[in-house]
Amino acid sequence: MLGCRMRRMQQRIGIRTISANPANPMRNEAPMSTAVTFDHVSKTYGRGDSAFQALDNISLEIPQGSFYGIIGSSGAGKSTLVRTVNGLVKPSSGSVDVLGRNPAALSKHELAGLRHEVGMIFQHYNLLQSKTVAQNVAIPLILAGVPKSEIAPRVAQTLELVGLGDRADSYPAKMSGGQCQRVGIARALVTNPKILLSDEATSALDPITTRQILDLLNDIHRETGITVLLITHQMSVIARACEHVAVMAHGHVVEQGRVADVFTRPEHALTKQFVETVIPRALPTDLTKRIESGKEGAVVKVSYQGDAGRHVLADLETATGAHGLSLLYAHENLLHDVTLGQLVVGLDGVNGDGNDLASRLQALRNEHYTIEVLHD
Amino acid sequence: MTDFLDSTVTFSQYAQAFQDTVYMVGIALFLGSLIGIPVGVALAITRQGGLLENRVVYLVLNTLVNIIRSLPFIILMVAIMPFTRVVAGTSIGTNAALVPLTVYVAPYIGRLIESAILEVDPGIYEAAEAMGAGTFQTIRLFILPEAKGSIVLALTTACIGLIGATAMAGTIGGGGIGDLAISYGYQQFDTIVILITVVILIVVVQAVQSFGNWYARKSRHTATDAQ
Repeated sequence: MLGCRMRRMQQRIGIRTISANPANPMRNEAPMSTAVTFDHVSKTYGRGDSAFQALDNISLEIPQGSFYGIIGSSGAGKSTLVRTVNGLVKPSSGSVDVLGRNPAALSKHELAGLRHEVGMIFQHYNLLQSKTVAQNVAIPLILAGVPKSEIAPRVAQTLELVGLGDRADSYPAKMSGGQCQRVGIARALVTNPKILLSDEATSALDPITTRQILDLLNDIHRETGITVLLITHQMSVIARACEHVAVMAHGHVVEQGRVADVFTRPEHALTKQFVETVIPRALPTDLTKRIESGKEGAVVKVSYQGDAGRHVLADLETATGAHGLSLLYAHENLLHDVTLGQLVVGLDGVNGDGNDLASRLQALRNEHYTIEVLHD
Repeated sequence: MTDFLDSTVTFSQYAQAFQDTVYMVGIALFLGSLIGIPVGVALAITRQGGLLENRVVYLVLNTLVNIIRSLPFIILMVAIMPFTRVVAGTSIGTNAALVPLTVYVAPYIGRLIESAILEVDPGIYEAAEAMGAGTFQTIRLFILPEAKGSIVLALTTACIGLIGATAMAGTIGGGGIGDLAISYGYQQFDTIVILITVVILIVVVQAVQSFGNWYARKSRHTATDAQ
């Protein structure tokens, strides 16, 4: 976080020509197929008075090759939702389409086949303590009926991919949490699945290890094009790793969209709370006091995305006709594929008519800027 | 030394008794495991919420195990004598004793195996299912390997229980260390025999338990085991 105060920061016009419109990293602009489609999925556990509705009429599309995050508090139903993808949970109503198949309607044999194409990693790794790393990773291949001679090279290759090439003969009990999760990832990927389900995979890890695991998942996603469906209760995980996010509460999806958009303009109260955990919305109290007292003159807060930060000051100066700008507060967050920034700027030589200022700023409002007048 | 020579029991009698005990415990443990391990697995997977939930099978097995387990060995031995005669052709002797010993230990092993399997982390079942493992594959590739350490300890406990039971097998001419203690030490007031058999039994039980602990630790690969 960067909090600084600079007087009369003059905008250098030259920068504007360099900064073209930020390249739009959105992959879902072109029509594309979906890996998973949830179609009005509901799930109720139990009957009568003790019945609990974990999922309530959820419809959601997970694009093929996307890195999709689902966030929610405990008990929001996200674990149940992700388990309908590999048939660990059967919906009470509605249907799930996974790679063109409906897990709930498959025979035992067909479901086993689908599960070889859908890898899963868990919060507590769920490794066999009685087997070595290599033996753990080999199990899905044994289950898939891969010939014995092919198993060892594929296990070695997958362990290399997750950075555990030298730990093949170790036992899980002698490894750290991060290493265990790498084994879990290797085990989930060894059959070359098309979808990877991550069930709170980093929730038991420390922040540094969490980043390493998320970066590993991102690398794998980029290199293999695998669809990743991740559930978490940590917004920082969504911020670092995901392209898309859906926010769940009480069995509903309350908000969904591109991560950058949801972080810039969260709509639902719960989403705002989650975003707040990564990007603090409240300004420092002494700054707020100074602004409110009018000492700083006209002040605006600008939220921007990506490269728009490069010319935000010049744009402000031009649009408002200010003689100079005072940078009162700045904060920038690097999300998975976009930078989100917040600036609080004092506009020198602009005063008086609030309506006038607001209307002048209107010209600036576009997809990369959100502008709020704090004082005029 | 003089006291030892005063005893009416010779060294070769001890050797024979020891051999009989090892024979009875060994065979009964083997046969008991052959029956008890599948029973234990069946109990664990057919119970409510199990891998192959089946109320009828669970109820039948559970009741059967409870009935046999509620009989003290000496009563079980007498009660099933007609059955013993059919299976072993006689109701007297070391081989005849194997029948009640096996019947006694099998449900005991079943119960111990059941609890060993129930100790396995539910996450393992979920991982197995998520990987597309069938019921049989889940048991063979996931559950039994994970429960191995506990199963070894269960069999150790069963083995020690059997050593105790063989002492009573003496009443139907089963022989063994315990029989020696009762027929010579207790019934003929030969204190030395009691003393020696007690020492032998303590040493044997200690050895069996230590071996079981060592082997269980080796199977578990937990962080605390010394390599």
